Amino acid sequence: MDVLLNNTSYYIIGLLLLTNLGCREPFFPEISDFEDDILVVEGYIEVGGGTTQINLSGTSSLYSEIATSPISGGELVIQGEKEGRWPLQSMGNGQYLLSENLPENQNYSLSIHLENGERYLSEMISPLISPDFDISYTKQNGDVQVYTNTRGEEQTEFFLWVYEETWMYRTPQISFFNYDEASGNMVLIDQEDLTYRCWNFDQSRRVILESSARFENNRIFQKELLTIDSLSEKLGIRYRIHTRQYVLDREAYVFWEGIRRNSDDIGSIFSPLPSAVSSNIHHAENPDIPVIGYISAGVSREKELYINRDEVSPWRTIIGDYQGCLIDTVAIADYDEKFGQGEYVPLYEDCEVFPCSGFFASTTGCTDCRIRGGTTTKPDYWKDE
Amino acid sequence: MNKGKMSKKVLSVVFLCLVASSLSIAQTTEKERISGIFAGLEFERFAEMVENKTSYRFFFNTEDVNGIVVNVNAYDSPIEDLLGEILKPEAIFFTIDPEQRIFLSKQKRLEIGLPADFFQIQQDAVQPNEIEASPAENANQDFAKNRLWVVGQSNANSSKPNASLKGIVQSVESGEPIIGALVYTSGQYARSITDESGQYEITLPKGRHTLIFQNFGAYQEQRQINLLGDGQLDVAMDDNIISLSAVTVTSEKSANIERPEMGLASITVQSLKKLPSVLGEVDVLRAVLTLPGVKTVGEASAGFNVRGGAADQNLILYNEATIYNPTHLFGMFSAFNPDMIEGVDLYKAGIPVQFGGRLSSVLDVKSKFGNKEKIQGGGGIGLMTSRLYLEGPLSENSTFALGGRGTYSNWLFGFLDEASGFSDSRASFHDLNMNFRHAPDPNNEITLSAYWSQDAFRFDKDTLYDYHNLNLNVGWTHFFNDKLEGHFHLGHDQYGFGILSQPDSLNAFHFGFSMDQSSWKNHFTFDLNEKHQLSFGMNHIFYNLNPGKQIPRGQESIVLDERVNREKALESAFYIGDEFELDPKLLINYGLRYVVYNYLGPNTINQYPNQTIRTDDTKTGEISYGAGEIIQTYQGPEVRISARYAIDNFTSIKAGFNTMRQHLHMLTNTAAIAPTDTWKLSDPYLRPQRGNQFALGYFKNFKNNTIETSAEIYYRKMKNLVDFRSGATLILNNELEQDVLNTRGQAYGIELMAKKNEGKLNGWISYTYSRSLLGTNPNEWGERVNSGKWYPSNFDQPHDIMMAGNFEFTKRINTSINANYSTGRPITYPVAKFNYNGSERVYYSDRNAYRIPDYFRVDLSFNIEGNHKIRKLAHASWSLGIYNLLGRANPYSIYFSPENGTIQGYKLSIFARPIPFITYNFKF
Repeated sequence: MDVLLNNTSYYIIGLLLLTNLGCREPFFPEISDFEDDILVVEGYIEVGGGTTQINLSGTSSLYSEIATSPISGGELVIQGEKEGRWPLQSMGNGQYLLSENLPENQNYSLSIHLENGERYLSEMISPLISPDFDISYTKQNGDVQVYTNTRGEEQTEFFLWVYEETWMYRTPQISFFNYDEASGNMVLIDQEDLTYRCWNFDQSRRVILESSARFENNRIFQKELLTIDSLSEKLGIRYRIHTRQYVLDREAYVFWEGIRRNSDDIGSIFSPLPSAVSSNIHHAENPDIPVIGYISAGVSREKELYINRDEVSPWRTIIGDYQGCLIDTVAIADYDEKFGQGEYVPLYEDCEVFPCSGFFASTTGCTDCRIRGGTTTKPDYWKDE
Repeated sequence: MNKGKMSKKVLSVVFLCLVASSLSIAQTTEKERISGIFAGLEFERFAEMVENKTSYRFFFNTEDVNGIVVNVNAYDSPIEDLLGEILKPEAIFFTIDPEQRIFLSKQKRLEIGLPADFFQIQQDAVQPNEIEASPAENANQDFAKNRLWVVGQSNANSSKPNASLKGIVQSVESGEPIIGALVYTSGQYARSITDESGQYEITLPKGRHTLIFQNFGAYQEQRQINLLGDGQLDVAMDDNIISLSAVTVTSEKSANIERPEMGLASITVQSLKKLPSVLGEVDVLRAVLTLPGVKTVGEASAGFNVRGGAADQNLILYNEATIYNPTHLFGMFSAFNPDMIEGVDLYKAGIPVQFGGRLSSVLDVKSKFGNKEKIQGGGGIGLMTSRLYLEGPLSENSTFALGGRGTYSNWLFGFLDEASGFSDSRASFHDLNMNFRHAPDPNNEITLSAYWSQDAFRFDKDTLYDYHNLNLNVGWTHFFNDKLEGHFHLGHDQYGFGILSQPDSLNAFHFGFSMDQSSWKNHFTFDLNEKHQLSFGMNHIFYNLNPGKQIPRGQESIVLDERVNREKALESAFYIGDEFELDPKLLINYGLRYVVYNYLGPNTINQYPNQTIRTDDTKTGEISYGAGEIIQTYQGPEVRISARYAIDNFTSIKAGFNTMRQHLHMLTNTAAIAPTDTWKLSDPYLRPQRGNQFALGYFKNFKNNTIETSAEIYYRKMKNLVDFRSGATLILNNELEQDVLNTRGQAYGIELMAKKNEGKLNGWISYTYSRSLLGTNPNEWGERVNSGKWYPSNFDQPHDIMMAGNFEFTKRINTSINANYSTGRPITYPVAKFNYNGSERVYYSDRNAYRIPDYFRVDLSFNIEGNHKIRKLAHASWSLGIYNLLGRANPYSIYFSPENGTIQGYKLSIFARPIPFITYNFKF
């Protein structure tokens, strides 16, 4: 009954608005240093041919600048209950991979041996096979909602979804030339080196969970994955969402629900107390040493969905960074001064009046999409229309 | 008879006994004050001058005062002060009796006891006007006060030294009985308190007495009586319309010394109205929070915690009906209409034997049933709410009271910006009271009481919340004879909430929770003899709970129709208690309550092996029970003992021990009471909560009971408290036993209080040190919170200081100021962060390992009464003030949430600014 819990957090917002007297302000309580570095294990054992990825990291202190501290150099081994032993390959940055076909008909455990000598072992994990699912979207009140739809069964009632988003965006102006300061010439840029078109990425940050048992015939209909707000650049050209669906057992569901609650529901008047989040990985010698994370196993399903701008039209996009973009003209005499310093980049020649009097110019911010974090390299998975 | 000679002899005897009580009596009467310069006068001359100016009369031996030269300047001084100054150096004692007679004596050693033949002598000696007691005389109160009332027949029961005096105390204005007035005499320990019909009964030695009737927080009335035998004396006294002697929240005056109960706090409506309020609404629950030992987790939460107990451990009664959600509008207002309330009692310890079913406290709110004189009404208009009430006689024998309240807060939402996303929000509430009383004859009284309250609110168009209380009950009080009184009660209480969610036609559903309880009580009091007063009876409550049902809404909805099995149970309690007065000093109130609880079918109970964790995997099957079948029985005795030992008239020691059982549990994993919390009955897995409490107190009054001080310590132990596994789902859960963690609790503390009841400046200050700890039961198979160690509960706030002051500028304008400091409540903080599932997450400390910053708040309010001309269309008053005068942003909560992928801490305050309020009240 997520709806109950989620909505309770609105009480306080409602209350504050009602009286307009309360307030919420940033606050940094003094917290005695938490010395222990807790191991964080994240991943999924993919059986039946998929790629297994496990990430190891450590906690960092609450106010530290470090976003994450990956733990590399560990030895990770997946052990079959009946047969088989599969060491994972360390890819650096705390990432460990395995792309071998693990049989579906047995349970697995994961053992972790860190460089500092500590050993951890997971409980036995039984693989669960995810049913098929699909994703859909609707446009409502100017926003686009993306949903997942699936159908559970008796043994597969708890679902977790994660998604990755990819979308294209364009700069308002295109720089076709480079100014060569040494020669004073304009050099045409190769088609593939143009920087006006980028792909950008994001991923799910909320924990998206649902239990099919509360619905008729175990059918989950239109569970919201995300809402794309109106004016978002994501639907400006073409957008792709790639979703992976996992089936969880009850214990894993409780773990994820705890993570979700501890992130989404905390702090309002009627919000629940923080949950102690359990793990199925334990220190080999001392069970009191805490570990964060829960490893599940099975076969996940994936789905992708493309949305073109014209499918949701009218869709207006506003990219704040591009609001002030104007086109200037630079006379030939000023090339060195304007283009040489990097203040301006040339767009194309201004030949409205013959002979050509100079170059149209703009700034890198308005011509190089990579500045906003995107990449000009088309991802391998990207399918054009 | 040689009066002059005789009087001296008698007076010395009178003196003996009166000195002991002079402190208590002299100052409570209307006092005359003296002004003037008395320079170089002989004492006799001084006495003459005082007698000329005042009604005081002096009695002394001329030899005693020979040679005393008076040299005092007086300005509006009490006579005691002057006499003290003059006579103390001369080693002369004085005493003033209620009739303003001042007696001087050189004797030093004073005995408190009375000579056996004292009354005889006095009766012979003093012969004031004797008048047969007749009710008509009550009309002239001053006259009545100074007459000698002869009660009883002198020849009847002449062998007995004592006689019993009975009567009814009622209000001069309304004719309604005055409840809880203390009746006592000077020099005697005998006391009586008027009951609900204003009746008192007191046993006194035959002879002359000054009988004092003290209405708490109001006027005092007195009668000179000559008690010849058993008889009756009715008294009419001023009620407290506008408190001429102001009393704020009060543990009963003098009764705090006399009564055996500890931890009882009573609040009068007058005092309630003087407390600064939020948004101008007088609020019972907020008043309760000003009492020592009562805490809350935050400003907008209506649940309160008494002596380290959870919010669901308070029995909240409104005219004997159980109220499950005592709040409106997210806890901002309490559900009780202040116009309809007659009085509030909170029992923190020493809970009377007729109450049970909750571990921590009983909050007994009594409402009006209307006066007998004339139709009256009133109401109030505030910024967000308005109320109206009407009361009066229906016929000669019956009265009624009606009240209603509503809000118009919806218009506020209209101002909200559409972009805020809350312009679709709505919130409203209303409540209605209807009370009716019929007394066909003096021995019977029938009451009918109905109460309805409802709240509805939404934050977007999709989801509508509502909850309601509905209570109906009928009571019959019957006086079988002089000694036996019976009260019978039949009632039905209902509480429920619903959520209507329709985001789209496929996911639309309605969720509902409701509980119904029907109760039958009979309660008897029986005056066995002078020393024993018995009370006995039984309570039966039949619970019928719908723990939750989710129903799809509309044809298209694919939401499942899901219902948790209904729960039924019968709770029966049989009790007997005795108030036993061993001697005037030692009073013991002891009782036994035997509770039988049956959890009834139809229901289906999951089965698990013993001695193991209960999960879906360990479930071995289920057993179905038919309708009315007993699934599980819990039974056991509850013990209630409290005793008072009076060291003297102004000092007493009390001790108490009680045990309690609770079969009804609120399922919550939030800190505050949420409108979506459900209740659950004890079942084979959820054992009844049990608790006991030891308490010890020392009570001392100073300055003739105008200053009361008390110190109480307590220790409580609780077991079978309900906590939940992490991630437990509390609603629509048919396997709740899998998620419950059996928890034990302990609480202890000391409560210190000093209170000044009278004078222009009155009020109190209290300090409480208390702890409240919880720990998962070591036998629990599942998760153990904080590895099974003791940890502070959500409402463990060790230091608490409360100050409330009231100052009367004039009779019509008074101001009150409140200040409250307490340690911040415990909270679970994040102590580390980590990355998981694409976002930064936090790792939490042990439960409640940290505290939010301390709490401090000051409120100010003014009450301005209109003039009180009798002939006036309506009496009006204004109440205005400022809540949170200092504007301190007291944090309600601290929380952390990922903002754009990084952790940000926030402090949330509910009332972060000074909040002015104004309410217009009227009476007609």
